[in-house]
Amino acid sequence: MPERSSRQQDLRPAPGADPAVADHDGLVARWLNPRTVGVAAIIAGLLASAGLVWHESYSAFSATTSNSGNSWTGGTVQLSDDDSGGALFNASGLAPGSTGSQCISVTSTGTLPALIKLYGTSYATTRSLAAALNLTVTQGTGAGYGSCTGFTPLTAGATVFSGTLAGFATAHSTYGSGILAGGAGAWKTTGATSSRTYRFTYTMSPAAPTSTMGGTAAVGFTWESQNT
Amino acid sequence: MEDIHTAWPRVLAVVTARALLALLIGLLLWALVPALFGWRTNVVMSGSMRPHIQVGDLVVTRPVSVDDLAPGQVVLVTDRLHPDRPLMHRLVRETPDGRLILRGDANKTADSDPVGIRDVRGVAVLRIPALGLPVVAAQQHHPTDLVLALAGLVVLVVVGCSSLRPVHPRRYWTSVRT
Repeated sequence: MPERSSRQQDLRPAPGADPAVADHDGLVARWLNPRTVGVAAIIAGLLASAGLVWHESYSAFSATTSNSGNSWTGGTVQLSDDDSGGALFNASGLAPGSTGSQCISVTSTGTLPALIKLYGTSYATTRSLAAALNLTVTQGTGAGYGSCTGFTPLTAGATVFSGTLAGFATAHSTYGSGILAGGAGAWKTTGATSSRTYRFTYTMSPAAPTSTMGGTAAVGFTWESQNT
Repeated sequence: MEDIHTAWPRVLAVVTARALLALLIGLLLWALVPALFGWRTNVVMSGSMRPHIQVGDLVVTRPVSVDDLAPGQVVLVTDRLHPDRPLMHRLVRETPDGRLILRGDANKTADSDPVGIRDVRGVAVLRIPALGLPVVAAQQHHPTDLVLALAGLVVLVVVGCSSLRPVHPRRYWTSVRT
């Protein structure tokens, strides 16, 4: 490589220095001259950006199956309840007038502001039993899964739903159609942990037709939290 | 006089700064150039696609025809519940009535609301890690993070733009004549 500037001569050792050192410094100066090094750094950076984008894109988008979930971390919305996977009701032998109440506590632990809604999933009924079951859902504080002792309804907007089980399950089956108890009753979090207790009361209509005898009804009550 | 033996810490700093600046510019180009042919770049604002896509990543999507959609792809859709905020989740399956079920990788269950085919805006092709973090910091009102990022950038630019030529201390005192 030809000498390009007087700068490189400055890198040469002073007269009288060890010739071996002089040789070595001359080589280093030739191959590590400022322009080569500066350009190499920029090319390396650009190549790294291409490699990084390719690698990150490949790992994120070419997976044909998603991971198994349960990888909840901070910076998101998260919801849990206290039923440990148990069912709220498992009632059998219902007759017109039969009634029962159960409570469940739901906790939002996400770090983002979120809006929580209630809806029904996996709805199934036979002999139209669900249409003969009246359901009231009330929200409040205190109590929890297994017992409604100490349950205190909210002072405003306590009623979440009042109607038939069939009406609940057919009208509210996704987050989009989920119940957002209106006004003061809406459950909005600011990103801090908050809890609510829900009391479910069913009553088999005294006027239930005999055609519902032997019928079944099942629905999953689902709360979903979405970042607002 | 500074020679190759004493200059290396300074040379290393300048070279590192230049490489990092080039990396940043390269990443920025990956985010901006696709817009020239109609692709879109979005900042990821929440963590529902973790761990594959992190908050603060930029994701480039290209338009896609309905026939080319396949389960496993990450798609960008208009969220009817939040029309101002597009949603990016993975396609799980198509429902019998021709709508799409999506799911965030970090979510335990699929999204409860199916998405209409017409709401699909594109399929994700490029992920540019972390480059959108300043946008997230601005939106979530974390000015300190923004200032730190800016300060880091200024340091990179100042160091990266300084010369790699040898320094000549003699110049500052030998030229004085009386």
